[in-house]
Amino acid sequence: MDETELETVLREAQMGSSVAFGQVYGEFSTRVFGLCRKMLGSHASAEDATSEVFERAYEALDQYDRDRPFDRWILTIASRHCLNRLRRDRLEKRLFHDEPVEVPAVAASSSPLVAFENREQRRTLLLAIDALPENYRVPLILKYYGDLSYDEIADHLGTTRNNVAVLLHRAKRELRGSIGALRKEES
Amino acid sequence: MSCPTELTLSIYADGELPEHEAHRIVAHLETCASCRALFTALEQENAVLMEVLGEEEAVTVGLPAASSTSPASASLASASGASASSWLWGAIAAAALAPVMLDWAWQATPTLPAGVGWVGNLGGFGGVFSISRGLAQLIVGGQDMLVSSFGFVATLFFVVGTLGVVALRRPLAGATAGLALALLAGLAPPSQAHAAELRYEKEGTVKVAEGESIDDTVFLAGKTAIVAGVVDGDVFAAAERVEVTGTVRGNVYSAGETVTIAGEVSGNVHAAGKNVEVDTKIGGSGFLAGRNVIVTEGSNLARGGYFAGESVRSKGRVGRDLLFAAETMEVSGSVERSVRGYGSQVAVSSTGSVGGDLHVTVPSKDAVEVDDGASVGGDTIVDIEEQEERRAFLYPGFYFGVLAKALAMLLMGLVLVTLFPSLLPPTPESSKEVLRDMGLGFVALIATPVVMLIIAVTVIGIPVSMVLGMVYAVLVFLSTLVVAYFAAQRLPAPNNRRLVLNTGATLLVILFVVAIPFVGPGLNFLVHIFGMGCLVVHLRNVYMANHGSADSPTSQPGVLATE
Repeated sequence: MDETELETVLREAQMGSSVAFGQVYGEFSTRVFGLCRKMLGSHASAEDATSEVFERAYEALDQYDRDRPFDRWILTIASRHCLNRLRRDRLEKRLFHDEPVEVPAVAASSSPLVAFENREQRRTLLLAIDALPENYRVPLILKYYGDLSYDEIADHLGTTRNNVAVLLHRAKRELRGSIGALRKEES
Repeated sequence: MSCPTELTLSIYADGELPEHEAHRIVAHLETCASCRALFTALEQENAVLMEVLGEEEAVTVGLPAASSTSPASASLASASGASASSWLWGAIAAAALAPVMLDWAWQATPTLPAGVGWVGNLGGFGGVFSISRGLAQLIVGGQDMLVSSFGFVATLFFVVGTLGVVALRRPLAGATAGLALALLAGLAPPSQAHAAELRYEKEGTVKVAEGESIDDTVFLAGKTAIVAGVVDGDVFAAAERVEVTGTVRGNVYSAGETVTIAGEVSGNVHAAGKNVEVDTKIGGSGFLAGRNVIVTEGSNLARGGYFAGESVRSKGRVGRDLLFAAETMEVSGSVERSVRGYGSQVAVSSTGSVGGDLHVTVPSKDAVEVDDGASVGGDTIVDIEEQEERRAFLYPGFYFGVLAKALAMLLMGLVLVTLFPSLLPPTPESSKEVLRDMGLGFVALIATPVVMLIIAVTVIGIPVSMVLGMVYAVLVFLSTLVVAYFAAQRLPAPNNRRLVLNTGATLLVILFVVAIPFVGPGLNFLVHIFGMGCLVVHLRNVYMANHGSADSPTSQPGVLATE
């Protein structure tokens, strides 16, 4: 779907056309699902979240400002939704389960995450991202998958822009550490 | 220029460094090879992350058929009936409960005597707030009581007991009685420490039998509580039916559906219930509150009479002043000093006599009837006070008041959010969440004062309890603002300033709406429990978040070694 086409579809959807909204869904569901999947970490809850996000989007469609990119808008809804879900889950977990044992911090600073030629290595990196603690994983995904700005992320997480920078920085360092450890295991 | 930190370079690589700083970095990178290498590595790293994260879609793209088709259609189905969001539905569902709560927020009742306005002097929300304020007064001003901790505990027990026993049966009278009693108990001089006797029967009758004599204070709780014997100390009784026919040398504190005091009491009588009857001689004052309060002809209150209720009849003798707040008040006995009261109907019959002034506040001139045969020693003063609550909209002061309140709330909210951005709660997303928040808010609203009391029983707990009280007050205050903020989020707001303006506007709307007679107090209650619930849930989340994710202590940016 090119831009003018998208614009038409969105306008129709805003006017209440369910067919148009279906097209919007087809166009963006993959990305929304991807974001939810990465943020929530499970396929099943990502499916639920995706449909909920589109429900919300449908309800809030008249508030969508057409000057803004639509993907930004819907990804914002999605990430907000996922964050709320995470918070809720965390609350439940905390109430009913013991804390998971903290993995000891890996030695800081190893090689950057650049040499990922083959599929296997990429898979490793993804697993490492999934294994990141939530407070690192969420900003990382919002930034490098959701393509949100620091300000937007800060707004979502209820924190400051500076803290977002620090969190991202630490997240990457953590990743390098765990990748390094994995590689050492392999060799 | 010295080398920038890895963090700075990382921000630059993300394209998020402010322009002036970015210029400096660019200049530095030109001259410093190691930083350049680091920066390149960071940039590549970002690219890898984006690529790998983006790639996963291709792997997991197999969206199950169910979710690829149904959400849109399902949402269409659910949303097409009405464009109202599920958020709104939740609110409507909760609002359906409003009548119940309206009854609970008893000051909404139009027949409320103007004189009981003091209970509701914190806007329409007076009920709960006054309880907590009364309790706070008990806690703060009750140091004397602590000396005799029994008396203190008993008073607390009494307040809670009253609410429990009476409020459930008849919210209107129950709340009146409970509040009046809580406050009256606060006024009462603390009893001396006794080795008290506690008698408790869940279903049956608990009694101090005829001929039995107790030297101590006695606590009675049961379905029926009867004092037929002699009690040297105080009597605390909570039961569906309370009867005192024996002799009590101390004070009587009693609450129940029916409270009858027919025995001789040397101290004060505090009684609250649906029906309260005093048919005896009382050495002290009578603090009586209930739906129907009767002081019979042969009765004699040696000191004052303090009566509150829907229908109050004072046929006996009151040794000093009589104060009342009632819907209908009838004075047919004698009052040695003056009478001061508030009511919607006040009658002094031919047998009635007032030694001093008769001063009543009523809604209209014909609401007072003083029989020709009645004697009034002093002046008869009738104040006409139409219920201002209902006419508040006519006075400009009201608008200034609301405006000032809204501004104060908004400012306080802004200051808080500026200082602690994470305090801003997320908007609830579903009707389920709204209901959950409201439920929690309801519990928090009701339970906090009780918890405060329980904590305050121990000396060590008093400061804790006071802090809790302050937090509670702030939460109640902010709850309206929170709801206004949620509502404002539904309006289009391109920037933060607009959002603040919207919040202010919705806040004003809410404050005006809750000032509407009849409906307002109930809505106000809903707003408060909703806002409070959201705040409580959110604060808990924030707390969990901060204590759950301990940042690694080694946060110094290390040097990135390139392979």
